[in-house]
Amino acid sequence: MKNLFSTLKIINALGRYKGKYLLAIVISALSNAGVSILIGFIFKNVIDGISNLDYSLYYRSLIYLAILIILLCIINPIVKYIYNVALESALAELRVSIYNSLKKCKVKYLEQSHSADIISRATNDIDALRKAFKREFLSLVGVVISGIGAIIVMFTQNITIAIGFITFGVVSGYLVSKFAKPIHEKSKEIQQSKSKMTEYMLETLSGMKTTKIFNLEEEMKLSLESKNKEITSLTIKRGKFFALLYSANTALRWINRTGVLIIGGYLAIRGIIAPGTLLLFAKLQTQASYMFVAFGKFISKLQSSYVSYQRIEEILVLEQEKIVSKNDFIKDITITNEIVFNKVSFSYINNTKVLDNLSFNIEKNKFYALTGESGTGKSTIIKLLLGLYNIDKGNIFIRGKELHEYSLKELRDLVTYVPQDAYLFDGTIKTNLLYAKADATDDELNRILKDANALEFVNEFEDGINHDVGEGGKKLSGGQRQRIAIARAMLKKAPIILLDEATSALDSITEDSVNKAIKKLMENKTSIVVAHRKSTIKNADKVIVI
Amino acid sequence: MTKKYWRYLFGRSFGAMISASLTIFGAYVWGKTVDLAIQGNIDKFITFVWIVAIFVIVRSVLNYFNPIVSLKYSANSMKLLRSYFVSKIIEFPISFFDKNHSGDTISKLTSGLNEVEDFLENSITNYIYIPVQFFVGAIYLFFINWKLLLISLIIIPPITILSNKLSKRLKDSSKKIQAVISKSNIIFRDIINGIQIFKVFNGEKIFDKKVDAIKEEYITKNKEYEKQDSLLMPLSTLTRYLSILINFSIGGYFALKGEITAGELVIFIQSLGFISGALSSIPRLFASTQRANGVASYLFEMIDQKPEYFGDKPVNNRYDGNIIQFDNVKFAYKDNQVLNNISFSIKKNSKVAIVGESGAGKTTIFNLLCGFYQIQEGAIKAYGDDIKSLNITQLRKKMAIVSQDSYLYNKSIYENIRYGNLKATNDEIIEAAKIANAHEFIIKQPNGYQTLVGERGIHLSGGQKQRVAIARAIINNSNIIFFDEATSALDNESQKLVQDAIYKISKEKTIIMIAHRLSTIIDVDEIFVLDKGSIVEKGTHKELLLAKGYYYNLYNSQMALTKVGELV
Repeated sequence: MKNLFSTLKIINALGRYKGKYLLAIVISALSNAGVSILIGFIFKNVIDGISNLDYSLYYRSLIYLAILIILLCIINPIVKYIYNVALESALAELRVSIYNSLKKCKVKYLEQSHSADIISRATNDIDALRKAFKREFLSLVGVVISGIGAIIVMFTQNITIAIGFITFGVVSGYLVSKFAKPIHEKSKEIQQSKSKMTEYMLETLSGMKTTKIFNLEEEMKLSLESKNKEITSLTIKRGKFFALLYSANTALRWINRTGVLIIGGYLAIRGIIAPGTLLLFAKLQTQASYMFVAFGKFISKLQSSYVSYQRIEEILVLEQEKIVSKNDFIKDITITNEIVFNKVSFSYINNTKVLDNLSFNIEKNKFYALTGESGTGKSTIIKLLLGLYNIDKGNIFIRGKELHEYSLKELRDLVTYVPQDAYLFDGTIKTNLLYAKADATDDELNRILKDANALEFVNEFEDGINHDVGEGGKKLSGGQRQRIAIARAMLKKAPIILLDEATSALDSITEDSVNKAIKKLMENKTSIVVAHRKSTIKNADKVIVI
Repeated sequence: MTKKYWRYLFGRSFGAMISASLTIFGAYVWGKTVDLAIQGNIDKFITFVWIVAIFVIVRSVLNYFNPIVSLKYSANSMKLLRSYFVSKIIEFPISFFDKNHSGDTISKLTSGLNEVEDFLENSITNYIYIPVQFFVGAIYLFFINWKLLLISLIIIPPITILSNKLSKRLKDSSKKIQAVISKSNIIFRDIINGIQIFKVFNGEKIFDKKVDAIKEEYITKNKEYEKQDSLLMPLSTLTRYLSILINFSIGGYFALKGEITAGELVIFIQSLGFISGALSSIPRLFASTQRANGVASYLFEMIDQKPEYFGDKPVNNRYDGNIIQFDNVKFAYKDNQVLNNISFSIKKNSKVAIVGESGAGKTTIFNLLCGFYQIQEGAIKAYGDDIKSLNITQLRKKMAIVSQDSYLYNKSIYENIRYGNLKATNDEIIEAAKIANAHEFIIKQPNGYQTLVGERGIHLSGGQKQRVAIARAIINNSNIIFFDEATSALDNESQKLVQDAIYKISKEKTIIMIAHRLSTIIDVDEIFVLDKGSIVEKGTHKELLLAKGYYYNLYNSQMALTKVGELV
């Protein structure tokens, strides 16, 4: 039982629209149920009218029926529009909530889990919820209201039959709840398999060139095929449970009906009740027993949607990023340097320490080169300075304050960053630059592009600065992307510059000009460059070897 | 296409027929009871009850098998479909992946497949069920009172036609909604893959606006859809209830006149309830069929790309002439003339280098050689034949690439290296890793060779990734290896070691290098200098220096950045 009610919690996915949605579907259910019951009475009257040859009863009933039909034709479409629009609006807001959570959450959640899994949650799982609300939830409410209404009326007609009927109903309800758990588990497995398959597909597509060059097409198809088979067999297994449930319910329902038939028929033959009443009972009984059958079926189906709901919830409750300090710092030295690392230790996963008791000072307005073997933590230092991760031990100071004394916005206003592999957002060159400074004029942008030695190639595009850059910037060559990233960094005009092997992929002429531009940018700024090239190291004021 | 599983569909049809017929029996039960009640005959009633009992058993058993057969049909069909689409997509030419967001493509595919699955699982059996229910019911009712049947059925055709017209418009609206969903998926992809840039450059402001705009558009498009969908509703309602009204009135009239019994009227109404229930779900069935059709045609359109177009002439391994030859090749990509009348040839087992500014077309040469794009003019020959006529799979087997940002699969380091040669032995893999100077760092990893590298190799540093890619190329043992800035992400020490290793294994191979650090290519047999898509100079390092041209300037400006005598 507890399971049943927790499944209904998925209504919370509708957020502020849940009231509107619920109200609309309740009204829809009430009108449908009401009409159904009234038709039962009309039916009774018509039959009684016929067996008694009562013409006026007969005619009156017909008029009532016509009125009911017209009402239904008006109410239903209006209500349907309301609840469906409420639903879609709620889902749209849910997507926005997912976005809001992702934009603020700790970076480690995004770097540790698969991007495709998250995308799957935002697509497949929302799809699942959508279906649940459009069908199962809607039907559930409709069926419950219709069933309860019928039972109430049953009691007003003949208590004995009503009680006998309810007993059967409870038994079938119990049966259904037994099936709930295995169905829920199977649904979860299916969703996970689907998500995994999406993951694999995405991966296969991203590495298409490599796949073709190494002739791995068949290999890719095979691994996808195995996931495909898994999904199929799981779906069929789950289906078998559903079928068993459905069959058992059918049996129960008919036994119930036969019961009413026997008792009612006997009473009618004896003349204790009118034949019309028998039919009224037939109608009510159908309506009410449908509730017991369908209730279980819908709850089971909703179990799978509950899984989707949970998966979405997991994203919504991701911890927000925050700079946290674990140590109290005892002020025994004055901090005058721009950036200070004091006995910093850090590991991504609990065992492997990437930084171990690291200390160094960075003086203001000087150019530092970070060098060392690959994998020793140079990029990590930059990530820490960007506030993307929290250190385990030690302290980091910028301009005399510890990192956690800054808000994330303040910290990131202080630093600008050029990554090793420049990522550009979906859009044009211009929109990508505007991220650094939203109100930059076209002139400003052109000047910056010139400084980054990018203006020449940008002007060669027919649409110039409005040239679309493609997914992650892939419509530009590596060197072009780098220079746009550098231009973007220049535009931001922050006092601390962090570069991660930025110039390693350009040819020497371009590299030379970019180096000059970066040097210009670094005038009167503090800069840290993760470098490999001797040329970069040579130009640095100081070198830190990790 | 899902005809392969026809036997399930057939079985289901059979089951549906029996099921539908039994439904009518259900109506009969009540009607008979009423008549018996009016007659007041107990014995007949008891016999009747036994008949009902048998009916119940049959019905229940049927309700177990029917859904399973249905499911087997839909699940297996989906398996086929998924297989089909996946295979097709993998065979796409590379130009498709440049034009389309991969995340976009996948989410379109998954949403689309979900819709189709839903249709196959739930709606398609109605195409069997509804007609059967209708005909069985109609025949039975015909025998009770054909006049009544005729009258009841007359209103149905016009309503059906009307709803069909309306549901066509739904297909367009649902396509529009799909398009908006794609947009929102691009946002998710950008924010997840570019999270660092997003945070550092305060992408929040701009993204917030985008997200809001998409939300508004989604709601608007849905409202349009719902308006159209709501119009279908009264039609369903009318189909259902109008019949009942007609029955009560005219049928009741007949009953009052004694043409049919009260019980028969009950049977009539119950049966008509089933029949019109079936018919009223036809508009919805059409609507969902339209929707599924819309989705399916959208998906098939999407994958209707011309596959790679090459011949199947086998590669001539014993060819001794120029192993690669470009003749007057012109290639433009979108608006850029990337290669402008390029001609050059590479001898078997020689080592050549291509230098030039970034964006000058160096990587493109390799892409064209692999057959990833079509040139507009000229010819590219490999092993003496135009590559268009060759079996491209064979040709690719002869090539390997290590690029500046090599792609690694989300598997273990071991698997990634093994992908270079699926038949490689354990020893061969470790040997390749050693040559690539990767073995040391690999065994230091928490799970050694079984360590997972993460999506695109994210768990490894740039240098580590590169070395795994080099190991992969080594084990590939291909005849032509293309190094595209392969050592750019490595520190000097690693780079030197790897450089040495490459030379060691390159004795019987053709090596093509792109490097910006000219000091790494001074020993090659020939250097091609590319500027704005044309070869401006070619020759050995010594020859080019003597020529005092473009290369000479390039070389000097680079040397100026380092102290003389110190090789970088």
